[in-house]
Amino acid sequence: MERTLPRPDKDIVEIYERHVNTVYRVCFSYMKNTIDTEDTVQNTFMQLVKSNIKFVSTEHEKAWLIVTASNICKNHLRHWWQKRTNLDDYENIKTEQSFEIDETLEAVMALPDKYKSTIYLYYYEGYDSTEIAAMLKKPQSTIRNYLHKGRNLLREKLGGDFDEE
Amino acid sequence: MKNKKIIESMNKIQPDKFARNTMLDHILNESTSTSAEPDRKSNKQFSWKTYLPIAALFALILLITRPDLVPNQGSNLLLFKGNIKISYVDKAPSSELSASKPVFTEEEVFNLFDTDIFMGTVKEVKNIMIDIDANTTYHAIAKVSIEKVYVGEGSVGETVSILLPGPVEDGKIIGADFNILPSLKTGDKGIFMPIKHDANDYWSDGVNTIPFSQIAEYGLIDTQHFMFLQTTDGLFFAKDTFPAIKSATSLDEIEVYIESKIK
Repeated sequence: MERTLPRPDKDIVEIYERHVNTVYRVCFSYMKNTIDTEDTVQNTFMQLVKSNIKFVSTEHEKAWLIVTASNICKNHLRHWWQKRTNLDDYENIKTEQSFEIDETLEAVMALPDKYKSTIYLYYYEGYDSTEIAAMLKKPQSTIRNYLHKGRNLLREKLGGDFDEE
Repeated sequence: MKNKKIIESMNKIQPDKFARNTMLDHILNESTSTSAEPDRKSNKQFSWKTYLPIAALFALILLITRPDLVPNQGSNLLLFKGNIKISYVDKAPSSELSASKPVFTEEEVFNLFDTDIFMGTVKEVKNIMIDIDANTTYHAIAKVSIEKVYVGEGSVGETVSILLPGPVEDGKIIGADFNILPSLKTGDKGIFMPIKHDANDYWSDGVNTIPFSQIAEYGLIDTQHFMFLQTTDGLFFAKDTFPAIKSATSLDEIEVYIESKIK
């Protein structure tokens, strides 16, 4: 059987540069701290290194990374207790993020997971409900329902500040 | 459709230059080590028929000459595979190790994971030690008799085992999460929200794996948010996470709340 060649470093660097911010955003929305976010971002790209998947476009690449990052984060949260370190090590680790979390971001991050992912993919990444349904493997009607409920929750929290533009 | 406010807010989330470079270095190191790994699958087809008699003979010689080297001789060994050993232990040592505990919101507790939810009584709780390549961690397995099912396939009267994220101690606080866990004991009644273990849940030494499901059907993500425990010292759960039941003193109040959340 033919053995698949490993992905060259040059390809990995290019994909990383294209999507690291997207993957970081997805991971931060789950992990809420920079240490675990960085861990899960690395694990997402390491999954890419190990994977034989051939991407047909940069959109396909991005969609794969978003779904993989979400799964890795959920798995990390399921097994958070598996990763243990000396308590002393935590004292020297920078846990504060270098960016500001504003009211809108706080409201989005506080949404239940299913609404948060859908709202993010729709309003930030610009995917339509058909594309999101394919990515999240859910019926399109479910995605439309998530969007509707997520939007209402954001309106409740942000009032007039949440406008659709 | 894009939303200007969401885009502006989200754009702020990005790694700084140092983090960006550090992460890339780690990924490329992993890439190098992955491609340098020898192909584990030999070209020659491995045949059990060839090696089984040799292995059996070796095991027999070992059993006769060095019984002390054979696992499970009088120990509390529960499972063992490759460099992974899982044993029952009476007492877990005080540990200086801790894990970075995630912060779960009320919404996440009910929406992020597919948890079963049931009320039950702890029938037995035993500490276990997981030894992977000589790195040890301690957990506990609780056997819980189900008395009422709110979500999931468990049935009333059934006793299920739940893997706990840390060991049970004598009221001692260990690490970030374990201020509720140490007090868990036989006879305690609670409402449990465990996840059913699946193929993603396993211990690995890099070559061998032991699925969590081999030692417990369920696992608790943490004991503050996913368990409401009635003990002789009171009702325990993360009160700040659930403002609606902050002052609750009985499982009946918790039950009413849980039923309202799963409607």
